[in-house]
Amino acid sequence: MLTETHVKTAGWGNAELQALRARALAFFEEKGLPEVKNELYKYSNIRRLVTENGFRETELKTATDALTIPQLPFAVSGTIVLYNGTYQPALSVLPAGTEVKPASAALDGTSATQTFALPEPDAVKALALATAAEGMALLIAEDTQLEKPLLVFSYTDVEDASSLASLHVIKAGKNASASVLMLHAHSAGKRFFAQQVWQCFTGEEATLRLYDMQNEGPESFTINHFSALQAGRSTFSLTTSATGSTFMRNNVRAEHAGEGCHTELNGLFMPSEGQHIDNRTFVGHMFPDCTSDELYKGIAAADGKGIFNGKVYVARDAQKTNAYQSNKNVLLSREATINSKPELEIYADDVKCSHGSTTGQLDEQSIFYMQARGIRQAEARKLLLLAFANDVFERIPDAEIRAFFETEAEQRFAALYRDR
Amino acid sequence: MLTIKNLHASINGKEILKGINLEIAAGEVHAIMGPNGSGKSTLSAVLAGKEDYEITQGEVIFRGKDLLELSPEERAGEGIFLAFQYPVEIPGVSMTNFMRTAVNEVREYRGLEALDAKAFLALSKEKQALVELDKKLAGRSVNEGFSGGEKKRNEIYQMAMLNPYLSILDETDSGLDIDALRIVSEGVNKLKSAENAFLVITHYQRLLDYIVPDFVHVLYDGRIVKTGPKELALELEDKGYDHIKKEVEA
Repeated sequence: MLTETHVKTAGWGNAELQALRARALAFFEEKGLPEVKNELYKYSNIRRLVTENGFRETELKTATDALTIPQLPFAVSGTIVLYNGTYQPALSVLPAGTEVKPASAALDGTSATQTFALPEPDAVKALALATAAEGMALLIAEDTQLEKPLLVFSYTDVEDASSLASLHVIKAGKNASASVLMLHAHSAGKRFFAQQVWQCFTGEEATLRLYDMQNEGPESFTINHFSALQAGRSTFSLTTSATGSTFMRNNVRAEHAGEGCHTELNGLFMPSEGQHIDNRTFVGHMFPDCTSDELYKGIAAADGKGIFNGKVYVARDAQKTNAYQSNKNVLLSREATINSKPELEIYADDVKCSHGSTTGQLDEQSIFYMQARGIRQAEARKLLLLAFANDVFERIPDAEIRAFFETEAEQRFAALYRDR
Repeated sequence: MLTIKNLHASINGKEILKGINLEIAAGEVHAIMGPNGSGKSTLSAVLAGKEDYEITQGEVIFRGKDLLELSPEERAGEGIFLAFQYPVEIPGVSMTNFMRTAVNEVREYRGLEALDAKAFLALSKEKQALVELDKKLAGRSVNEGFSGGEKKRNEIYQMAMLNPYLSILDETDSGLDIDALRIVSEGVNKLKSAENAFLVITHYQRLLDYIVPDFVHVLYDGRIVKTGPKELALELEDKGYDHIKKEVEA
């Protein structure tokens, strides 16, 4: 079982990284897996989740020679395949201006310390850091502009009730620009507890956009740790569309390391029967003249549980900060739950910050209006849900990815009302 | 086309319609007038199938079918159209997407093939012209940011697109200036045929100068208390509803 007494630290990386990992393990051993009395995991009982499912460390296969890679309705600039968190060079195609190295190659002492320093006492992230297998470092060279999205396909193939963790780095060089689309798949019928750590670095004036399509099957119990450290005048965006998994937690952290940065976090989370989807975000405004814009929209059906907890932190020196945060939710049934907890922590005095949170239901007047025009009730509800989700799609500048996410949501909404 | 017999309806236990009887044949225009609170809007909502109302007695037969057994969308498919007194704004749903979905859902119900994008646009253009609806509104969300007049013209445009047998206009004249009233009325008059019928619900006689009714019914306290030719509307305008109230109570 995955408990504080059994885990082993992964032995890779430079001395500083190993020391950091040892500290993470010590922290985890001291705190153990969080229960609901831990403020960070107030709505997600990780200890119970692990105990009830008996997740444990197992021997993982690290290579495969055959995988079916999903066909996308549009061209990509390249494909990166991860198998149980391990990079598969033979199955991958890299676009010009990019290379893949072991994660440790992109983590010198400084960057490792900066990004891995536990900002909050999070034993789950400590566990992930301590145990993560060395994943890949995707390096996007200076001035490289990827015109088409780069696909990262992650396949999990483990025995039932396995726990696995991997750590990856994405580094966009100065003035580089790239969109990365993440897709996931797994072997059928085998439950797994996966933690993926994604450490992103955006160089000066670089743009890095991550799109994570989280539509795994019910076997998936997943915690993602997305972190970005942004150099001056760079843009980082993350868009997640969570429809799958029995349990999903997104820990998102973006921090500015220079002036004039922009951060955009977009999330759509749609828990339905038996699903639990939790988003925890942190945007750290540490420098002046930076902007952040955050929109999370939840649609909870059946007995689904959705959570948004977002914090915007503005340091004393981060004058002229513009920070927006919004969380809007729709409940589709009496049994559905949404917990929303927006937080602002501001130490600068010349800033524009706003946050808002609303939770409601679909407008019955609108539904009747559409029905009176001959639109079936299920179709009317679907149209309203698409309209609700559209605010998130509108923020996706890549047209093909936007359409891809829309189609996924449309299928999800159609499934919600099928045979009703 | 439509036969309403002894229709009783209530909301939250309060009876609003207390025995409506009404017969509408194809090719006819009927006007229902009455003071505030007489049940005019309830009647239109009940015919369109709004769920908030409980039908306690009576029956409604529309083109041979028991209307009260049908869902609102099935009623629309059968050919009932309600032009709303207060058209609903639906942020995020574009007019074009809404209308194309509606047209094709109704066509599917009627056993017709869906219109492709080109055919839909051609039809839409023709019907927009009928009520002088600004083309740019098609790109907006349903009724969002429309002026009062645009909303009502939009209702008639939708009516024209769906080609119903029975159109119910619920106080379509409210909030309209003379020009908009004329445009809306001309639209309705162009759509009039021997195959369809109109039920025009209004508070004032004004609209009936433009859409000339074959019958005028006075609704009071949930019942039709008087029926007459179009001149009845003028009489009401002249003498007011108090006159009718006294007559009824006498």
